[in-house]
Amino acid sequence: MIILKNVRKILIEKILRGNILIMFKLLFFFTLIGLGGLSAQTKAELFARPGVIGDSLSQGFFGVTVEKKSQEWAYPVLVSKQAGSNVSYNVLKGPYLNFENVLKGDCGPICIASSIIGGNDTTLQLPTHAGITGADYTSVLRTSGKCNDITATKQEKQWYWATWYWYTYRWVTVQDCQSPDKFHQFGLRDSGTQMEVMEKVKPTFLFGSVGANHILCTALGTSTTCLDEPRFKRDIREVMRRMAAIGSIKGGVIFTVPNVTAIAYLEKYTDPQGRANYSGLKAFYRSSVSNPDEVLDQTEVQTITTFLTMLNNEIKAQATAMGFAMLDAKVMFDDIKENGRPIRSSDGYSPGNARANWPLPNQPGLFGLDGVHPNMYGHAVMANELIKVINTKYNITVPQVSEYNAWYNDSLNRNPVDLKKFLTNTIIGQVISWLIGIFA
Amino acid sequence: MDKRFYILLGIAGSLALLLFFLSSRSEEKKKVVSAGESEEIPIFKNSVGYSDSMYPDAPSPFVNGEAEEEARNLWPTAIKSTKDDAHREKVREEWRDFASKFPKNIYVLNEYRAPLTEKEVAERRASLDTISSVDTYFYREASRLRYAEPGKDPVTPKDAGVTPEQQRSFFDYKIREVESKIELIQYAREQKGLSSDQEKIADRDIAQWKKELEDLQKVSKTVPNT
Repeated sequence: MIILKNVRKILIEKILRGNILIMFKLLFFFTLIGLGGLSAQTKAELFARPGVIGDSLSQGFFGVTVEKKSQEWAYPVLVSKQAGSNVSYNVLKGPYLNFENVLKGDCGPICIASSIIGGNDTTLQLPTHAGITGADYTSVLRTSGKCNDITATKQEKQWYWATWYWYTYRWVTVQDCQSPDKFHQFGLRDSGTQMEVMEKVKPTFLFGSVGANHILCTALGTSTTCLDEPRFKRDIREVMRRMAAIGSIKGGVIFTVPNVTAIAYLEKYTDPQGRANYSGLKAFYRSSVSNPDEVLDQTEVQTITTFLTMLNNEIKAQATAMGFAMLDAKVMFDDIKENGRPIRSSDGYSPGNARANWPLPNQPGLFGLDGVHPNMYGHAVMANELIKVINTKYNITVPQVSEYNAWYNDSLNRNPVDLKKFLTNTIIGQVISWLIGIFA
Repeated sequence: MDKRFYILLGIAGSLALLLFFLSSRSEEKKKVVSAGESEEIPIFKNSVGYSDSMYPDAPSPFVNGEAEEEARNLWPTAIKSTKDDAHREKVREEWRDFASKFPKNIYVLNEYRAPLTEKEVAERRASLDTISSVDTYFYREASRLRYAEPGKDPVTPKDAGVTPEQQRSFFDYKIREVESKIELIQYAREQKGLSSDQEKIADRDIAQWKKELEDLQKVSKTVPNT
């Protein structure tokens, strides 16, 4: 009897233990299923209708134009596709030229002429991706595809009958609509400003980074005169206020601005005569410095650093306020500048670490030939870093892009161009002028 | 009670192992090769300035079907844009024709011109320095004035900011550049290289460039000699 009781007790305990185990296993299983279900739902909800405001990075500006190929590899397009969604945009065929193709002999005079004129390959009534080369938070609010500044006004005489016997005029304020640059013309067309586009699109997820051109002008203009803190703060806050007012946005992502004095466009220069204001950072194509305005000296670099800290703090604050994922692209870029970015195939092959420069033989790089904008591989890296912060912030699983695949298929990385070999070509002056004209 | 504790401990352990496994996989992905690994400055061995035979041993990711699908999904135009030798020969022919018609056009690459002497190379570099310096100066000023208060007139600077010699060199280049663009577009039109939508844009652009050219020619005559 005692033996039987003991056997019964042991059996019950075993069953109970088994049940507890089964119970935990089931709990674990259903929790995973539940999380998976929740993730899928949240991802689908978040990316139901992604919208983009942005600048040349988001539009896919690449040495030194915007075209179908480069628009496809831009980070918002990659991230949206990886999230199982998509963004739509007006497809451009210029303005200006794909310098890589010209230097490699793939684009001749007719191709150059066609891309200088530019235009649209395909158009939409309302794009969901409104990012435009050269834009900042100010132009997001003010520049449409038709008017350079929709808030600009002028005084005009309006003729009218003041009395039955007196036909005269009065001054009235009317809109002063002057044509914007071609990137805005072809990128936005009739859809309004970037802000107005988003108000019509009512996105569920926002790519909201347009901070770079508030400071990049210092690097391309080798000057700090373009820095305008009040304008930047006023306009980023206004953009975010209006975004919040749309009511449809469930999430988004924004990134800080990298150290613009560390980009490949600039290189160190020491004046042979030891003059401090002639030494510092000069544009890579300059053979010498004959004027202090042609370098960013130590004081100017410090001013830019201080401005960058302010700018990035504001971006972080806006990300927090909006509940957006935030990528510290400054930290990311600093890391790549310092350590490079490993590239490795699934079977272990590596062409070496990519650097924060345009590619050179046996030296992969993340940038295009202007030393400012990422190449196809660089955008894949950017997309992956954004995906990481989006996944963490919203507890979802957007898969990463294969960086090896991007590198392997990136023509500039696979067949690098030695830009410095072409500096005696007269076309270079115009390419640089074009670049400075957009970003300085 | 003790046994339940051990069961819970077991589950927690399993979860910890799972997390460790996942994190070690992501660590693996993040593993950074030290910066000094490829410090050598690469040199282009050919004269054209680009390499067409880099990384011959790089394995194609397309052995994996998923990678090919990924590339077709993410970079459909880029993966199709490889140009062949026939295309490059056609482009070379086009350049030769264009260069013979417009030898002074700034868009013509050096390889379609007579080789430069050392003196010419030095002059080209000096010219690039001057033009980009003056260009940067003017764009910088324009950028500063972009958001000026409406109705407020800009103040004429007391100093020119550039020397007459620099300015003359700049105007000469700008005039050649605008003329070169017009030549390019006209050549493309003759060769029927523009689409119908581009024809309209080209009309507007050429009208604008001709006006710009007129302004540049007029103002360049006002640059003092000293």
